[in-house]
Amino acid sequence: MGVKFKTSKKLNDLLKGKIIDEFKSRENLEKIGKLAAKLVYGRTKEGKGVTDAKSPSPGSTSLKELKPSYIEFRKRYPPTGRFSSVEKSNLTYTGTLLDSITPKIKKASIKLTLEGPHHAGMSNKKLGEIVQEQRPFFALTGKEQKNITSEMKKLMRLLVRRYST
Amino acid sequence: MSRVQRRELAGAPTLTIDVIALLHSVGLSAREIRSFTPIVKRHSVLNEIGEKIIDKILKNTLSGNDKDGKPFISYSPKYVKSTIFKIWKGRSRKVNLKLKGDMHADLSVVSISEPQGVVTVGFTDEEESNKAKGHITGANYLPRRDFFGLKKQELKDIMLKTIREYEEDAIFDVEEMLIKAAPKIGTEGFQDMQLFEALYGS
Repeated sequence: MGVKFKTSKKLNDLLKGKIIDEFKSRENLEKIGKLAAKLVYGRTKEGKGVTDAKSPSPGSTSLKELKPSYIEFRKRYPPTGRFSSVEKSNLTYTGTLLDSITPKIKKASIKLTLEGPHHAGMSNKKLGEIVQEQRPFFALTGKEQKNITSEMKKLMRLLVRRYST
Repeated sequence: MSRVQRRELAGAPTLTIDVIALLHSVGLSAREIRSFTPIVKRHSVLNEIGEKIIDKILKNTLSGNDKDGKPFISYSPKYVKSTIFKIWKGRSRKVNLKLKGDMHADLSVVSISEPQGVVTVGFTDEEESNKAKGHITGANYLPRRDFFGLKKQELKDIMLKTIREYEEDAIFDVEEMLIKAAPKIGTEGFQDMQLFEALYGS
C-alpha cells in the first residue's frame, strides 16, 4: 500500500499567490503590452480601424478612403512610411504616428500611448486624437482582446507548470 | 465510440476525446482503471486535459509540425512577398499557421461531458473556424497543413500527467487566477481604459 502525499490547502494558496505575483511582474506586463501595441500597429498598417473606439469590444473595419484630391497630392509627394500606399489609407505618410505607439506599464495596468512629437508640429497624441475622429484606430478590437487574453492564459499556464512540478 | 473523434467536413472542426476509452487503452491494471475512472470524470480534470491538448497542438504547430509530426509545406513565394505577410511576420519564413494569432487564440475547450468522461476542443468564432478548416482540409488551392490533432501517445501522456497532477493537488483554475491577475489594458486619452470586462464581465 502506497502513501499518498497531498499538499495542504495553505501551501496551495501560497503557491497561487506566488504565481499571480510573478504573472504581474513588470517583465510579463511588458510582454503583454508589446503584443497589444503590435496588434494595433499591424491592423492599422493593413488599412483597418475599429468600428467604434468607445465600445468595450469593437469590431474591425476598413479605414475611411482617402479623398481624390489627397491621393493626387500623395502622387506628387509620395508617402515614405513603411507599408505606405499612395491610394489607400493606413494612417501612414511618414509612419511617425504608428511608430510612436508605446505600451506604458503602471502597477497592474497597461496603457498604449502615442509618444513624442510629430513633425506636423504637434504631438503624436494630439495628431492621434484628430485622426481618431475620422478614422478610429486606437483601441483594441474584440478579437485583439481575445488574442491578448489567450497569450495571458498561456503565460499563466506556463507559470503554473513551473511552480507545480 | 472510438477514443478520438474528429469532425471537420460538416460544420466547425472539433476534436472529441473519450477519456474513459483512452484510460482503458493504456495498459493499466483493472484496479488502476477503477480508481482513475472517477478522477477523469471530474470537470476540472477534463477541462485540464482539454487545455493541455490545446497547448500541445499549438506547441506542435508553432514549431512548424503537423499533427503527425511532419513539417508543414512551405508558404508560397507570392504569399511571403505580400504586404500583409511582411506587416505581421517581417522576414520570418517559419510556417506556423500564425499571422496575427487570432486562429490560435480561438482554439478552446468547447464542451465537457462529466458522466461520459468526454472533452471536446474546437473553435468558437466562425471566421477562425473556417480558417482552421481551410488548413486542415486544404481549400482554395492552399496546401493541406493539418495541425488539428495529436498522436495517440501524446494524448495518453497528457491524460496520465493530469491524473498525477490531480492526485498531487496540482491542478489550478487558471481562468480564476487570470481574473484575479489580469491587468487593466487600454489606450490612453481617447477613451476610458478598455478593461477586460468585455471578456470577464459576463
